Amino acid sequence: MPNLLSAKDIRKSYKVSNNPLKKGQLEVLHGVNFSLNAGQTLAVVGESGSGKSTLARILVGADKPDSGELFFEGKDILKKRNKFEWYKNIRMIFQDAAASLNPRATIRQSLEEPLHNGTQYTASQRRERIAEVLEMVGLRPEYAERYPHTFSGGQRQRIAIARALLLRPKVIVADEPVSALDVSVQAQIINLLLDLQDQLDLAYVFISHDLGLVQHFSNKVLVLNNGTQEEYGRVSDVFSQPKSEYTLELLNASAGYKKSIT
Amino acid sequence: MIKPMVTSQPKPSWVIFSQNKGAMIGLVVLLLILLMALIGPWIAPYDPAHQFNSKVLIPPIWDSAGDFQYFLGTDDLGRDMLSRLLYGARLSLQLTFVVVLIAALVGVMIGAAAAFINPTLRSLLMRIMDLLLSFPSLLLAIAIVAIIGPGLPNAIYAVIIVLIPQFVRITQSSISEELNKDYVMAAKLDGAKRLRLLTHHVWPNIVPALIVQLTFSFSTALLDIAALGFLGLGAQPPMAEWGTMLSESRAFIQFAPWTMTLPGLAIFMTVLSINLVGDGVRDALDPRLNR
Amino acid sequence: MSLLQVENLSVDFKTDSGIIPAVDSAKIAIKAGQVQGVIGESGSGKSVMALAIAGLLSPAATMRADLFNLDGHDLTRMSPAERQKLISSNISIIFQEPTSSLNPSLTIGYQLDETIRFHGGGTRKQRYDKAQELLSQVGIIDGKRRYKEYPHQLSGGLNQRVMIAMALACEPKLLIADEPTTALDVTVQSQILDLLLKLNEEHNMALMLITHDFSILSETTDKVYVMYGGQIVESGRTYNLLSQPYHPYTKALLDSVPHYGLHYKKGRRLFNLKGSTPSLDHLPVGCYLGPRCPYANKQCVQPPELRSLKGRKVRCHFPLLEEDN
Repeated sequence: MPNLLSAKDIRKSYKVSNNPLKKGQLEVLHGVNFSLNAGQTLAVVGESGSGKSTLARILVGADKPDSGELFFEGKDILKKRNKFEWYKNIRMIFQDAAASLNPRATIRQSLEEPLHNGTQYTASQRRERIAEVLEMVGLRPEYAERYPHTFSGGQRQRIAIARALLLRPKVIVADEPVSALDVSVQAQIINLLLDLQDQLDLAYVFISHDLGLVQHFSNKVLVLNNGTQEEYGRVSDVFSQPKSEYTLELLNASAGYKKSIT
Repeated sequence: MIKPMVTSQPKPSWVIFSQNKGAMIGLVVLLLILLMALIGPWIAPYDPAHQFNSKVLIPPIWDSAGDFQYFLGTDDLGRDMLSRLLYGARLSLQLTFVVVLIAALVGVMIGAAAAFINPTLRSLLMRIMDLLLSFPSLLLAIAIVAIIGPGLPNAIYAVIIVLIPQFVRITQSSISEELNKDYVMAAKLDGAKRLRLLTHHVWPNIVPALIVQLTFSFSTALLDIAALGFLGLGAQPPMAEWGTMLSESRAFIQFAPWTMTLPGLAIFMTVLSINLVGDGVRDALDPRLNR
Repeated sequence: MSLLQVENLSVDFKTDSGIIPAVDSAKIAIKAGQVQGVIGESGSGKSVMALAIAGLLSPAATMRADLFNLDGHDLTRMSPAERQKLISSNISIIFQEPTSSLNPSLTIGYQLDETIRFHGGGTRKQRYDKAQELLSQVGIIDGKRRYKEYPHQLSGGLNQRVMIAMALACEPKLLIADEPTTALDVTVQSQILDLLLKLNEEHNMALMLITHDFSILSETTDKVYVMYGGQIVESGRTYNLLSQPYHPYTKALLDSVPHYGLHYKKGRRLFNLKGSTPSLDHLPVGCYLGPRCPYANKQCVQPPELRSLKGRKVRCHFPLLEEDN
């Protein structure tokens, strides 16, 4: 039985400048490998510029890797012609929920989009499904008629989760889903994600810089430093016996602030 | 269950618009001007080109020398000012509407196409637009008229050409800006194809910018057509056109100021009211302001 | 004798939708050389309180205080100009986003020089030497090179050091740091905190650390104020407050974030408050936490007073004592 999702030697570089006269590539991912099963959570950890957001974008199909293979249920989805099958199964939750919702569309209009493109549902079936997912994330169905700006940050993130759930995906990639939220609201969203994982047997790829959350939330962890995969393994192993210098530094820095001067 | 922060239903756009005092005043004035332009030929007391040779330069009725037969006075050839202004409103507004509409249509289409073509081609196209934009609009219009010859139809073509680059620029830059936003990426991952992205997701977000541009262009077009008329490159005498009227009367500003101030005031009021209405529409279409 | 003593400090903002109380009767006292923390979420009033103390409120705000003593002077009896002068020579403030606090089109040196000129000045040479001294104090080794560079050429951590150097130019007795490390990576965060504590010790400069993150307060501060809805809801010695919070909100702040290093069973649900932080123009009746609080009952529609309890101040009708924790 193959893994639900696995990545082999994913590499990515960007052009340094748009100027066609200037050459030069900046490699942001130097070969990433991992595997993930249903109901599991893989945390991707790193500081700003580590390439963790690029990896997230590659996993959901928003960006193309230069090389590497990405297997979903045993098939290399990078080679597939029909990308939408991929988009349907691996969905993204953006860090800034407000920016990921069209400001001039009602919540219903935004939630209609995946159903319109990805299903043969009739208008009333779409209405029903939208009501269903809104309730799953703890919002009232009638909120669908409102515009994004009338909601609080936590509610907007719930809407973004509802949007990700609409097409019954198997994997959700969440790019720092709570880092923009107040701490008292963060816990609600984390709990919601855990509940949904239990109910729907979802696999999560959880991009984060917060090791406390990672430890609480994940089974596996992948540490990125400047695009290099420093470490990959079970959370309990990596956190108790880090193999790389960098992981150790990161762990020490995250253990709350300790006075280093006397 | 969690309650939303704002519990009131969002107001419909026209309610927002009607609460904007400036926009409402602008709308009323604009409607009056449009009404006058529409029914002008029926309410105008005289033929705008008819010369009352014995009644030259009669001041408006509020002047002690005014004559009730000529409500807003007469010009240097004894033509009735009110009749000329009414006919002029019809001509000026008609021209402006047609000019702006054509320029906007062409400009938006070129701009939308530019947002999707390959970057090198796009840079080339946009640099050409920048070149056109770098001339003052009136100067460019004069240059074009100088090449293709004076007269009203040529003046219209010239003003259309002058207006197009602004629409191309604003459309292309707004679309490119929106395409980089997360919500467009989200819609793409929701399976939306390129055309649907443009029409369903990006378009509503660039309309406000276009409306502002439309109102700007409307004032530019009105002023440029009038200015070309003023310079003798547009509407030719004895046609009643606001700009031409201004130009013909400039010799009399010292002793018959009404011949110049009245058409000037007409141009000013029209431009101002359009700008006020444009601002109001833009705000009313923004759901973030619908408190 | 306190360096700064403020009582019943209130700040109101006048807006189109009425008067918004951003800070409601806050009481702060800092001794010379002391390190204190203020913790709260967005909209808790913590930043506005900092701006009020630093005399940097916008004209739309009105500020009242029964007592405002700084370094032995009574500021409530001074003219605005005198007050401004006293504050700016005694209190400095640094912010969350160092890169946007600096002017992107001027060099680090120019901006530093301008600050030094404002606080005393001297000849060109003296000012340059002073700038180099400040840069080395904040741990920038290649100060001569950095002096000529622009903010975008420096990392976020270095820019924050530059901001601190500028803050030190007036040799302040109190430095207010408003979320100084929030925008920085974790590994840089501890370096900046190290620096702030070093300056605190070497210059006997009091430090007021404003944050939303308890993990940086436990080792740095002596005393913590917890703010919610513009009010101080709990204050006390850091160690006591963290090990046993009396106010339900303090408990929620502590328990809703899994802290690295503590062992959790994977998938355990976190303690959380329902709903979201109230906006200051729609504050609930009575206790501001009431609608979100798991312990609230009928009495909580009466606004609670800040009262003393076992050496701490708590604004709650039903503080969490031993048996609840």
